[in-house]
This record gives sequence, structure tokens and C-alpha cells, in this order.
Amino acid sequence: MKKLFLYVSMLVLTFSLVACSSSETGGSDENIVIWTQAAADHPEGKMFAERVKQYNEEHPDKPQVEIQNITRAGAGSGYIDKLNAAITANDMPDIFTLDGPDIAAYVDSGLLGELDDYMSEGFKEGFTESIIAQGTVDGKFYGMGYSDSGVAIMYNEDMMNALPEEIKGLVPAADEDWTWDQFTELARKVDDFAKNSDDPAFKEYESAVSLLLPDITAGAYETGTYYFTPLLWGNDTNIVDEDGVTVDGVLNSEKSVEALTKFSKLFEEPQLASASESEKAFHSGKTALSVSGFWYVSELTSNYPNLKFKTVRYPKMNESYDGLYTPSGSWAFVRNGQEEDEERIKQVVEVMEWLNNDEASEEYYHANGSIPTRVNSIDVIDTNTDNPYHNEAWSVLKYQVENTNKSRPVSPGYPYLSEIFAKDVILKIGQNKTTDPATIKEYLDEAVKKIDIEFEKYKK
Amino acid sequence: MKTVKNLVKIRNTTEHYRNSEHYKKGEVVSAFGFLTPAMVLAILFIVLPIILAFTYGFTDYYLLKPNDKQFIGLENFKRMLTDEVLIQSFLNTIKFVVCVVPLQLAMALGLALIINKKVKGVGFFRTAYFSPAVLSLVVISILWTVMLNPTSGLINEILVNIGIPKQPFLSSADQAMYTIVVISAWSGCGYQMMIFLAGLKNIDGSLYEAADIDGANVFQKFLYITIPSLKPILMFLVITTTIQAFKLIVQPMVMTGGGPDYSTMTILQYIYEYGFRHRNIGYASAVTLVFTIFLVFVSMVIKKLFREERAA
Repeated sequence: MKKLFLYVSMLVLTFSLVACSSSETGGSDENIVIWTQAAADHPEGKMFAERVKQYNEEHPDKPQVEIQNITRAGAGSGYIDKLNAAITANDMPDIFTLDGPDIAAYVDSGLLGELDDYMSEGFKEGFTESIIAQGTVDGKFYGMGYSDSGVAIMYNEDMMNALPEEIKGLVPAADEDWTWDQFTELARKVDDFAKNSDDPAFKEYESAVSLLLPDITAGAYETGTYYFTPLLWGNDTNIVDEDGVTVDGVLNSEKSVEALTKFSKLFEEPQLASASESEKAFHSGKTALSVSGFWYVSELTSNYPNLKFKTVRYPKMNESYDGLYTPSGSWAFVRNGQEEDEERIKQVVEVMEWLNNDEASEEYYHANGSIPTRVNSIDVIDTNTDNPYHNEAWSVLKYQVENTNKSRPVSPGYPYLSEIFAKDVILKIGQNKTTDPATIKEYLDEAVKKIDIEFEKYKK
Repeated sequence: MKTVKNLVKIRNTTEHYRNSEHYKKGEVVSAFGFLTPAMVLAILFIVLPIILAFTYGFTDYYLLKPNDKQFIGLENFKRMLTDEVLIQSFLNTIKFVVCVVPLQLAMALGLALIINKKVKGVGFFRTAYFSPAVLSLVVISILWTVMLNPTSGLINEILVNIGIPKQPFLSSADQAMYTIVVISAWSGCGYQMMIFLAGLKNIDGSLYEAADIDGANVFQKFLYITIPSLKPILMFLVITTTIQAFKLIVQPMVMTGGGPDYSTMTILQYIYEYGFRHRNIGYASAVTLVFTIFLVFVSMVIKKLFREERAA
């Protein structure tokens, strides 16, 4: 009996070891494997699956494409963990997805392959300017963005209609540029009126502006950076230099201090925005204005049908600035840079083109509301539906995609850069209600100090 | 009371004697035989990775360049000495531990004493107080974040109703950590309560009867019978609760993101963020190594203190 137990134990151990090793076996080497962060049952996951299915059906004589959905968890940790493990094991898929700003880090590590030498003639130029910039590192193109994005200002129409005429006159038209100073002025006047009004539109009123700062607290640092780096862009500055590693003299420049000082006026007492605003504050009628990502449009029209929202452009920090300044960018397809077989690389890039061509871009909009990244597909954005609020919102976003969208900074250390800017600058200004330029400069200098230490390893 | 003390001492001595019984040689061999498969698996998948992780602490291992690790000696450890965020994280962790361990254990023991009374409805309260222990810390954190909202949270609504101004709680660098302390003690004390309850039920009732005969009051009985009898359990709970407290990560990650102004950033959160979010495996491993040594030291100190107390 004792020997039997011993043999069974050894057998169990053997099976355990074999099971561990056998789980490493992947699919066929001939198949082109794609990893995506979209869940299989999410509209985005479904649209990729459909696109892949079409490719396989129309190209039966070529390597078949296999797509694997690895669901994101929290701040993308599930998908990223899997990817990190694959990198460690030298077992990356042929094609995978990355958030635009992460591309530079993977390029810096030699993990991605460039696309310029393999794309069809003119294909790259079919992307919008900001999407090309998002995927370009050191002059070479590495990432095909399949979806763009946008941020605009929304306001509660019922609240605005309850305002006196002189305040309503401060609200810009949907096709009109305005500045952050004008935005703040409007917010201040709305707040003053709302706190003394018994109009039912202000029944749930909490503050003038929703900024989603609690998302930064919850660890979604990129939301903060994505939303508010444009404050600096609009004042002809940035969070990092074009070289992607220099922050001193850029992040803490006079122009940056100036821009952030204007932003900080929202937190001047009585404050117009809160770092602890309620969840879905704008959606539930607690704020009059909101810095809103493009996803708000479908969210509001689907889940908050009683909320009448109007949309205007993202404010420009400096009225005379005429460069690009509105938020943009999203996830992109990239290819495994460790593949050396030229023929296979061509096949992989062909698949990538299939996933990112004009037709695909249009399909993604219809399936998931993804903002098209292809110039020829932007017109697919529907601004003539039965919902006037939807139409106006998409008109604003479409204008920004075509005219003012700017890609996020390209930097190998972007995750850290994003976190520090969002947490140690934007959130800190909000939580501490800091409004004086000297203190804001201190915040920026401290941020520069931290980033410089971290970025030392990227400097060549 | 002298008689009671002697009875407690005899009981503890007897338990010690029983634990020192020797096993037959054949039984020892069989035991190791059965343990071998688990030991092999543990070595392969736990011990070996730990050793590897510690060796990474002496390298510049960057997650995206796994094949380009360079030995850099003590550079990572030198960096720790000037890393302000790390130092603050360490101090935050110490603050949390010093506050939450006594609070949590006091709450647990207090609840156990209350529930130990044989009255109707005690089962309901036992279940109610234990419930937080089975909830996900993420769920608890999110619920408390909503309740503690400085503008519209339930807690502030209650405070206003009793005449206390709204408090910033998690939005204040001064209050955030203490808020997390209270929440953590509340969510964790149910588990310790059950252990204390089991310990209380194992105390020989005759000891209390003897104490009553000697004229001891409630406080004296608690001090001279309950506490000494629970000492082994108390020692276990102090060690496990302390080690568990040092591993604080979920609550600040979900509720405050380590802020405001890094006031709730803990060592474990720091390791996670630097190691995985920022891909600095080498540096994060070095911090992990130092932190592990620190935890071992803390455990040894606690055990020694309890051993000395027992000897006295």
C-alpha cells in the first residue's frame, strides 16, 4: 500500500510537470497569430473577429489568421501581463495591439518591426496626421492605429437654458473656437448663478465642471494625461521634448507654468471643479460642464436619454496658437520585431493592412463607434441621425479629427511620464487647490526631477 | 489569585510536553515520502522563483529587455537611499502597521468577548461581524470610497446631521492614511474575532470559577486568566496580522492611488508600480529583497518579545 501511494505521488508529479510544459505549445507555426486586448464578446472584439474571418475566407491560399482575445483587467494588467510573459519567453505573437504611447518603449527594446519597407505604396499616407505621428519613432513607422479618439467640452442644455442671457452669451457655438480663459469665465458665472437658483435644472447641482480627476486617483493615470496634456499643447509647449527623453526646460517651462496656472483657476475658492467629484457627475446632472471623451456620446445617448447634452470644441489655451492641440490616439496594431523571415513579414504586414484599410476603418466605426483613422473614412462619421445631440457631438469630434488632433508624446518612458504628470501635477493641483504660479512651478520641478532619474536609462 | 496563575502555568507546561513527543523512525520516513512531491513542486515554482527574484535585485533588468540584464552590484540598493517616494512609502507602511494592528486586534478581541456571551441572537452578530472578512478588498474599498466622498458621501451626510463639518477623508493627505487604517481594521477584525472566539471557548471554565472564589473582579479575570490563556493565539495573531498589514496594497491602490501626495503609498504598491507598470524589475526586486529581510527581522523581534514575556 505504501508503495502504491509512492507510485501515485510520482505519477501526479510527472503529470504536473508535463502539463506545465505542454501548455507552452502554441498553435500552428504557419498561422499568423494576433493578440488583442479586446474581449471576444465586446463589440471591438467582435469586429476584429469578423475582419479576420473575412481575410481567411478571401485568402484561402495564404497563411490563415488566428485571433486571440486577452481581456484587459484594471488598467490593462491582464493583457499586458500576458504580453510581458511572452516577451520574457521570446514567444510574442506575430501581431498584437498596444496603446499608441507604448509603442516607443517597445521599439526602444527592439521588440517591434518597422512597417515602411513592407506596406503597400501610399498606404501609410492614408492615415490621419496624428495617427501617423502616434506610430512613428525615430522617423520610422511601427504602429497602425485602428481607432482614433477625441475629447470635447459638453454642457447640460437644461442648465444653460436656465441662465440669464448675458451668461448664455458666453457659450460658444459648436463650430467656434474658444479659450480656456473663456471656459473658466463661463464656469465661474454658471457656478455663481447655480448656487443661488431654485430652477429644477440645478436640483442636483454639485459643481460647475467635471474633469474625471477621481479616475487618476483610481490609477487611470493615462486618462489624466490624455485629457490635460492639451492644456500645454495649446500653449505651444509639451510634457516632454521631441527627443522623448528631455523634460527639463519643457515640462517645467514658463509656458507650461502659465498654462497650468490658468487651469488651476478652476480650483480657486469657491472651486468650480473637484478632485473628488461624484461618479458620473455630468451624466447625473451634477455638473453643468464636462471635459468629455468621445465615448460619452454613446454612453449618454444609450444610458441617459433624459440628459440633453450639447458639445463644443476643446478650449485652446492660447488664442493665437495655430498648431495641433486636441487629444487623440488610441490602440494600434504592431508586429513582432523578432521575426526575420522576409516573406512572412510581408504576409504579416498584408494582414495588418487588411485590419487597417479604409474599409476596415468604416466597419469599426459602425461596429464600435471607433473614430476612423483613415482619411478617406472620416466621412463615415454620421452627423445626420435623428438625435441632434449626437449629431452635434460627432460634428465637433469630426472637425477635431480632421483639423486639430495631436498625437500624444512619443517617449520610451511614457508610462512613467504619464503617471507623474497626471498624479504629481494635475491631480495635485486639484487636491491641494493650488493656484499660485510659484507653487505650480515647484510641482513641475519636482516632477522633472523624478522623471530625469527614471529616464536616465533611455538616454543614449 | 496565585492559585489561578499556577493553574494556567501548569496547563501551558502540559501542552508543551505533549508537543515534544518523538515519532517513530518509520513514520518519519513515510511522512517525508508523502511530502516529497509537494516539496519538489514548491522548490520549482516557489523557492526557485524567489531566488531568481532576489538575484534580479543586483541587475538592471528591464521588463522589455529580458535578455539584456547586466549585473550592477549594489546600484539598486544605493538608489533606495535617495528615493524619496520609496522612503515615504516605507514610513507610510510603518504608520499603517503601528496603527492598524493594535486597533484591529482590540476590535477583534472586544467583539469576541461580546459574542462569547450565551445570549439569543449571538449567531447573527457573529455572522455580521465576520462578513467583511469574506468580501473582496476591492469591493470593500469601492464601497467605502463612495461612502466617504467629501461632497455627497453617506458618512459626511451623517456628520453634517450631527453638527460636524464635512471631512475630506481620502482627499486629505492628513486624513487619508488614518481613514484607510479604520477601514482595514473594520474589514479584517472579523477573521481575528473568530480565532479569538475559538480561543475563548477553549479556556477552562474552572479557572474563572476559582477566580470567583478568590474574589477577582471582571477586569482581574480578564487580565490574569483570559489574556494569559490567549497568549499563544495572541502571539500568532500579532505576527500574522503584522505581516499581513505590511502587505497593504489593495486599499490605497483602489481608494487613493497612493495619494494624496503619496501619503498612502505603501511599499508593496511601490514595488508593483515600479516593477510592472514601469517595468523596472531589477530595482523592484531589490526593494522586495530589502523588504523581505525587514519582515523577517520584524517577525524575529516579535517572537523574541513574546518568548521573553513567556519566560518571565
